Amino acid sequence: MVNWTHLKTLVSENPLQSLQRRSPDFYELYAGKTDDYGFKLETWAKWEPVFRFFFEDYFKVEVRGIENIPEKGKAIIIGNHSGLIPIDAGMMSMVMCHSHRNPRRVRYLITDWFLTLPFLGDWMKETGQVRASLETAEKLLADGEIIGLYPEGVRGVGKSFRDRYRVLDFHPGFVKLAIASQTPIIPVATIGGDEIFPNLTNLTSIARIMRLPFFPVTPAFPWLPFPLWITPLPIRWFINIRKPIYLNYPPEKANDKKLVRDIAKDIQYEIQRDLNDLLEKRHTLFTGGSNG
Amino acid sequence: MADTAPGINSSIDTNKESATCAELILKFLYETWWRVEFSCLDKIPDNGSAFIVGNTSGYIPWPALMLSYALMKDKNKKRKVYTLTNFDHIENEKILSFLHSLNFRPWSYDNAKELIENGEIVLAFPEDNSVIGKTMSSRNRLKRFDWTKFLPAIESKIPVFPLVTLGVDESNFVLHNSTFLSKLLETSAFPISPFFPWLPFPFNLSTLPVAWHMKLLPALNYTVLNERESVQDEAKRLALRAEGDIQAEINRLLRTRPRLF
Repeated sequence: MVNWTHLKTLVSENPLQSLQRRSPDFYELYAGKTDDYGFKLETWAKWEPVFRFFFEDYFKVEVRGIENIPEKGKAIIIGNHSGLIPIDAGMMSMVMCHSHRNPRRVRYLITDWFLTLPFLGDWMKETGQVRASLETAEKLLADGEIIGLYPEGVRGVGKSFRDRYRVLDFHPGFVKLAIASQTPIIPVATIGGDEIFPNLTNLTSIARIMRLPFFPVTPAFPWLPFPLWITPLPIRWFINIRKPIYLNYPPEKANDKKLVRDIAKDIQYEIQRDLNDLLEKRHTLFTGGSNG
Repeated sequence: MADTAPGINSSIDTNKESATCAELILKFLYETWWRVEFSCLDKIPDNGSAFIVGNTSGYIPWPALMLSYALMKDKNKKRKVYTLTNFDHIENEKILSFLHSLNFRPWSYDNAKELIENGEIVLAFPEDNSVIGKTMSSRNRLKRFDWTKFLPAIESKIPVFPLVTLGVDESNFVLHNSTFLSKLLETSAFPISPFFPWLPFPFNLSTLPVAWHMKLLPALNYTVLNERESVQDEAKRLALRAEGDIQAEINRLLRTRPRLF
């Protein structure tokens, strides 16, 4: 049975007051502070109950290894991308806001394409996402923030259903960044996201005409009216967070292309291995059943 | 060395009659039943020892037989491959003797070392018995590689090649692995397929005519070490790399696979 408690706060309380009550540490950390990249606590507070509803009540996300994310200091979170609409980043943000001992925001680096979308671009900035660039990433890490990256890029979100949980080759830029900035990498494997909008096929010709990275056909899109096509299936999610990887190389090694490529490959393979393990252990697909 | 059929560099160490019989079976499976497309076989060195690791599925490691046949067919490759595998789950004497005649040997560290020292090509499946009960829902997803399988190769400093087989999981169409029956019968798995346990032997070993794609990937790089602890760490790293390379290639091949059957 779905619990609507979090959504009810949307109409019953002032969003900021609600956030202060529900996540006092997170509120204290960011209240009254301005952000160079457009993060607004008001917007976060408005949308937090929606994401928390999906996190706790709809997808019933089970998280393992939350203690592997450091309480303080910089880190780079790397994961497999999924879900047509990148809800996976939102779920990780919920993990850090509500499940971690020292709640913090995760600054996900997103491609320019997302920022060009009307309404969505501004919304993404105001909820903490930033434009993907090396300069921005370095500055955020220098400020001690946690940044999130999906090295599969936008291709990872548009995966077809038959390719679900099959990781595409990682772009190795994140390893270069980690070595140059002496930052630990935290690999995260997520299952659930690739099944919430089963992408039956990708109409590349239409995508090209509409200048979209992909044009998915799902059981609901483009057939059903809004908001039905944007309603995800109630799939149970699992997130496995690995121990931080400290790359003990001097910063100048960031230019060693072979080393960087090899490390990126190893991290990609670790995440794929975790995905295979999680899928094998999953007993139920939908949130209604028990996972044993 | 066995007698050879015309035009074939037979690697089967047995008498002429059974060699011909085995060859005919392999030819049928390779060319007609699974229509195996094998790429990059030329990577196998012309001389000296090499270690090949691959993915498989089911009771019988069919990819080993297909590799053997591919080498037999290739007139330029006068090599044979020895497959080291776990025979514990096979009790049928006929199958055991047939596998032995096809250069299958039980997995052991000593057997691996001996074959490597003799300059042979050794093939192993580091997923072990976990692949016997692999169901369709887990198809084309590798189980964790056992890193200890890599120790003889690393210690002997020989090249290690990953071997990808796409199609083997689907041809072994396992609907369900009954843990209840496997516990009851004290077996590592009890796979239920459209053929097993319903049909009599050997029909219960039947497979589906799924199109296979086999590919030998480039040799893996690894550091040659002398200290025991470092060798173990390197074996763990190599196991992850081999498993990851095979899984990544399967993912790529799946995206471009034209047909299943």
